Amino acid sequence: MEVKDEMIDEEKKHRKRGMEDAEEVKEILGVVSKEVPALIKSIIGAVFSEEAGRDMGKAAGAFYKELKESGMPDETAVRMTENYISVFTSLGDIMRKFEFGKGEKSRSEVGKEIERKIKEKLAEKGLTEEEE
Amino acid sequence: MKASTMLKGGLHLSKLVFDLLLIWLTLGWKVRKAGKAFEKELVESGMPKETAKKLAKKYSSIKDEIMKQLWGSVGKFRR
Repeated sequence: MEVKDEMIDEEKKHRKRGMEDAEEVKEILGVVSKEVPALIKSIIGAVFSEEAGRDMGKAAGAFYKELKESGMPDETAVRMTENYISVFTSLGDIMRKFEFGKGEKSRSEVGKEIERKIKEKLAEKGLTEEEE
Repeated sequence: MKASTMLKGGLHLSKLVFDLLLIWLTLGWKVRKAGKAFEKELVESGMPKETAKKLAKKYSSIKDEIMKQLWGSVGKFRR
């Protein structure tokens, strides 16, 4: 009889743990589905918006104009402007520097940081729900 | 496992996929718009139109580079 009770208790505990895990996954998905698209949108918006393009064009145009006004031949001025633009556009190189495992932070460190951030968000969310 | 938990988790996941798809779809349009604005400013500063077009193309190539890097990172994660 006692063994049966223990088995039932164990099964209840197992089921409860499963429910808690599922709840946790749901909450993590909730945070990730909100934060990740917002982060990507803001990064893309910083580089690929009409305003960003205009600003970059203004800077490159002013650079070209100055070179021309100082008497630089057209071909050289264009080549120098091209180099000037490549400072902004060498995003690939920047991303390569931050590549996982090669940069300052290894993959596991990044993972830990993401885990910490998610836990922080979940704790914040838990507090606000309790307050409500 | 509660059905509502599963349902909510599924909803969050589909929202995430939908948002990422939308970002990917609108990226090309945003790049084109930014490239046009960039080209216009260069032409206004006195650069020949053909050269400005060439430089605008270079600016737009950042998108391809970002996508290449992203796919490269995804590939490394899967390995």
